[in-house]
Amino acid sequence: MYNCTAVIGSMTAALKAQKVLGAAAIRATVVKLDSTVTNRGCAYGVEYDCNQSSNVRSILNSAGIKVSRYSEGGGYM
Amino acid sequence: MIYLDNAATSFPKPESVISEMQNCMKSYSGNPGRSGHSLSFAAAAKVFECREAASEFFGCSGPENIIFTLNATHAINMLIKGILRRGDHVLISDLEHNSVYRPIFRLASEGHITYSVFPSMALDNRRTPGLICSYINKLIQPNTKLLICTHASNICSATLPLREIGQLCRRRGMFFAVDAAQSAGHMDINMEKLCIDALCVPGHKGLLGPMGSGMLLLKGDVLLDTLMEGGSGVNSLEGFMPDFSPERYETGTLAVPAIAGLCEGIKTVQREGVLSIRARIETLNRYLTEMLSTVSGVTLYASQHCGAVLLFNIKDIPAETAGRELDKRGVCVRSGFHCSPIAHATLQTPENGAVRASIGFFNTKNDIESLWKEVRQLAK
Repeated sequence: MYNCTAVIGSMTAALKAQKVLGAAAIRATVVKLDSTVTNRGCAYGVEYDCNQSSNVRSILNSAGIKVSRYSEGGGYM
Repeated sequence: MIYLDNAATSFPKPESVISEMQNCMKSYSGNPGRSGHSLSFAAAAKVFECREAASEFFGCSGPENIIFTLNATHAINMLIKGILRRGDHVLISDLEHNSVYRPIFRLASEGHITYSVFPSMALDNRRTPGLICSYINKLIQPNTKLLICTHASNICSATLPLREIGQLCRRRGMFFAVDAAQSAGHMDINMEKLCIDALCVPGHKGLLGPMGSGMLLLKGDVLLDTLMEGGSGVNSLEGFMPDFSPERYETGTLAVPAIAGLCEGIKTVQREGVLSIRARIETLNRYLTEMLSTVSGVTLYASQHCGAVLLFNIKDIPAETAGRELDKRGVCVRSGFHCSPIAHATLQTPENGAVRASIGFFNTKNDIESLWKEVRQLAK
């Protein structure tokens, strides 16, 4: 497994993303992102198995969770 | 000691609330949404758990729309000062606590807004939701932006018909905010069903959490101006607060132990069931009303309404004196004006105010009988 990251922003939204992904049996971990990821300062996101990328995009989109970008690699990019 | 001051704050607290607060302080008291370590994440997970519990409990649109505050007054101020603009008109009821009245009064006094007071008809036997709404309708102006009112009075058991008022606000394009200080945990409140745009609740009353906990629950598509600015743990390189909830409004470190306790309080109320709690409280209120009605010299106010609160006076004993005497006899009640001068005017209480007994989750028939016995002694 290699990790992909959904860059979300707030801790609350990241936890919500983790929850909705968990409900779909997709394991996701909330991570604090390196500040350079967003260029806006502190931010959180979720890490997940890249094999689940298309599912993750679809689920987060359906749940109305705003993702500023998806990237390959762990949270401390 | 008999505690009948639950409208001020509920006491005692469930053991689960106390133990979870202790557990938080001992085991996961990191700063949520700030750091990247396990203790911070554990605290954030508990905070999120509470958001989810509150969102489900009140029929809110999602955990991100639960904003933690210090108390209901804090939530009300955030709402009022975050939504109103110069020239707006506001409607409030004649049962409001100072938590609503004072921020509105100040903004009006400074010339920013105007406001009108609609009648709750708390003493009127002709009282119906339709009649109250017809009074509201007459007071609506083209610039009426907000109707904010209490759900249940803090000095009597009168309630306002939220469903009908909410539907009216929706039809007339007004923002509808509710002060649920006395009803949260005692009455069924579903924001979606009642067309409530903002709900302000204390954590430490009917929800059985600790003092220092409260919430502002917002409808999803609302973006208020901020009351305070500062650290939010997100977008920290930017000068402006984030434009999303709840981080936009929750500046500075959250009261995580209080939120952890509140989460357990909400779960306790959910397990017991609001309707069951309400039924028990109403039974005790009816019993207290009946008992005090038999005491010569006791005046009851608006006692036709049945809920958690009963307001009374004993002969011509000033309310504060009566309260002190009851305290000496081991009964805790609250006397005076209860921070609700306009509601006291509505109920036509005397110049010293009145004595308030307020029933809570843990009260029993014995507590009611103890109060009755002591009042009877004082009335002799």
